[in-house]
Amino acid sequence: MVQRKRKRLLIVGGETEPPVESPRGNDDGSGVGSLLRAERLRSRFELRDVAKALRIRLPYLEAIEEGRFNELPGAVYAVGFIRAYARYLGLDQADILRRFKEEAAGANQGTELIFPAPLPEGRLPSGAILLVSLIVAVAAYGGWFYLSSLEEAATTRAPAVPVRLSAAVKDAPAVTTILPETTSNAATTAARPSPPVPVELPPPAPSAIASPIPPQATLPPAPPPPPRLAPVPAPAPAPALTLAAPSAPPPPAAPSFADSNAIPAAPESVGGNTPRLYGEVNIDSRVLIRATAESWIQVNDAGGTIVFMRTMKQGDSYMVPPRPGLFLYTGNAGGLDILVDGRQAPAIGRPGFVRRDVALDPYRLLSGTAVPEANRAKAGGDSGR
Amino acid sequence: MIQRLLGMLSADMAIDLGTANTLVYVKGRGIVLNEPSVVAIAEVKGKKQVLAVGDEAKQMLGRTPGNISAIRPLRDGVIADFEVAEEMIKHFIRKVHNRRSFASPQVIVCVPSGSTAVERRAIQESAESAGARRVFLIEEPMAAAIGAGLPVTEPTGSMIVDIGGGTTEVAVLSLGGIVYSKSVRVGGDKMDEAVIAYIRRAHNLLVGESSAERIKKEIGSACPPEDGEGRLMEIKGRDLMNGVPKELLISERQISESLTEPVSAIVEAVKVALEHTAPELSADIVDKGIVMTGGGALLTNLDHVLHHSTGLPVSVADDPLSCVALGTGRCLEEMKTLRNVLLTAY
Repeated sequence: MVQRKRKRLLIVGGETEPPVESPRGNDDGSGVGSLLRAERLRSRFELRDVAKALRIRLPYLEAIEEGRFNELPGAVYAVGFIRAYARYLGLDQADILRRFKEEAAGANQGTELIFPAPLPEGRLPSGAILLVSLIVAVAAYGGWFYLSSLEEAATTRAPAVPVRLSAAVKDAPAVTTILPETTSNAATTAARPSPPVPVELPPPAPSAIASPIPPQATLPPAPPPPPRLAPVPAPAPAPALTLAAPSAPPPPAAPSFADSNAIPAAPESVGGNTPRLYGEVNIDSRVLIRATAESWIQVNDAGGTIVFMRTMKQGDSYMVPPRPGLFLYTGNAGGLDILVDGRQAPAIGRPGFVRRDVALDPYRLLSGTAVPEANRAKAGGDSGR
Repeated sequence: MIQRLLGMLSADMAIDLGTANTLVYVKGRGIVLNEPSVVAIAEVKGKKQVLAVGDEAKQMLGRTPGNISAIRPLRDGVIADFEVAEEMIKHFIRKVHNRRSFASPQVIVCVPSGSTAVERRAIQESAESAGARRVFLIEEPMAAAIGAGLPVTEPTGSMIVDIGGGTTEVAVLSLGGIVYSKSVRVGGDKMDEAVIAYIRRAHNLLVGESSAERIKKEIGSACPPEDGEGRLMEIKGRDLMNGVPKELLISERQISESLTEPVSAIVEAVKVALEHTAPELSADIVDKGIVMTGGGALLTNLDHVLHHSTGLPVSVADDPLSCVALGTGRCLEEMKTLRNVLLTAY
């Protein structure tokens, strides 16, 4: 745009030597040109002689006399020529110049100064670049915002199964399905060589029953650092392998990499929003924790060993092993319904409240004293309904 | 971006730092200051302090007691006394610049085309320490040509003769640049000195610089009048023979005689410039002639002398004294398009 403007100005500047124009001309006989001519004729000078004496080109003098000031090379030169001419004729220079300026008033006195600039290389003007990049940025942000809002809705419904985990599902279907169908199933799984089946080491919990596949117990010899998903304990493999081992604590020695594949695969492999039941092996369980809203729970035994830990989706339930001295730790106390022998126990807190060391004792739960006093006081003294 | 913001806040200025007069052009306001480049310094308890700057100081020139000295910090178009020049620029900037705005101004200063790198550096540093945010320099003939309204950017040669206080700049310009320039250290000051020398020689009378300048302005002429003695003027000074103040009558013819030497130096410079001009540009100059600016252009009949000695039409620009300041100011106003003519150390 700038370039175009410059070009136009250049053309204008090139064709018409700009500055001085005569708005009135000298037809009325009162112009500077006619005045000068009359004076010259009166003094009987030839224009040619004047031009020779003043060294001003004849065409310029003619232009002055005829009032065609735009034919002169420039305002400053026009003034000089007229002054010289007036002086030559013995006229009052100041007066003539004043008249000339009045006559040429309105015509621009200034000279357009347009510097010859190198031709711009074929580049977009920076303004356009800025505008386009702004639009792109806004569009990108808008798109991202829209997509992410969609995605968020999707994730609330069903978490996508990571590729790695889905691969594990394919590899070890028996292990990944949480359903603790039969020991035979587990045994076949364990017999499979390719995906090493996670097997707990001799569990420290006294109630735990030894694994029925003792040779496999030594299977994970490599002690790599705990895998990323290690925080999820191994309740899943435990029921899969041992029918009556409800509270298989995580192996003290970190499970091998194969374990890390298998362990998380168990709880997470089943997608969708169908309510799930955990701890189904605890057939004689009296306490059932059902999530009415998404809530994270952790069940520890008296020794502080984690028995169960996961984020329960709405509708998921967990059958608490029938063991004394288990404690519940939850991040959303109001999102849990606790059923004791099918009866609704008093709520342990309001939604969003963190509850620690809730005793999972049937009697205390029913009587509403499961939540420790100190904990209750800290959480705002709200436990009962 | 920041530059533009600061530009809005500060009053950018163009300074024609001349040997005789300093003109300051403020963006959007035009020429706001035109004062002699004179600083009066008083020595109080061994410490130098600025007493007066500009008009006030000029009146003190040559009339000062021992503890005051009126100094002209510029000689021959360049800074001779660095510290005093800095004080002067500082004073002028402060006088013109709105002190409420916190942004310091952007300043364009003229330098003679013949000045050395050291002299340019000195002027730039003076302006910087006087409180300028950025200093640009512009060569005087270019500023004068822009101020006079010459079509300097067109592909046609224009010749400008800028006769200042300290230097005379002769330049041929085309396509926005200086094709040839010659700077001779002859100007108004040299004419004053010539007048003083002549009067002393011919009449044994010593006159001061200010008086000499007044004489030059009133009855100075580049060529002797055709007949008679021309205008007459009474001059006052000190008689060298017996040391008493004396008054005598001097004529235009005598002064024109005294000015022969500086005038011929100027004519010589123009001739040299013409000699060094490329033939195409010479052809353009023959058509349009020479344009004179600067205070020296006001010397009676100087255009006449130049016209006769070169055979070219000679035009004196309108308001020759402020051409340089106006041209510099125009560069300030049209910084974007006229940026090419500015010299800068940044």
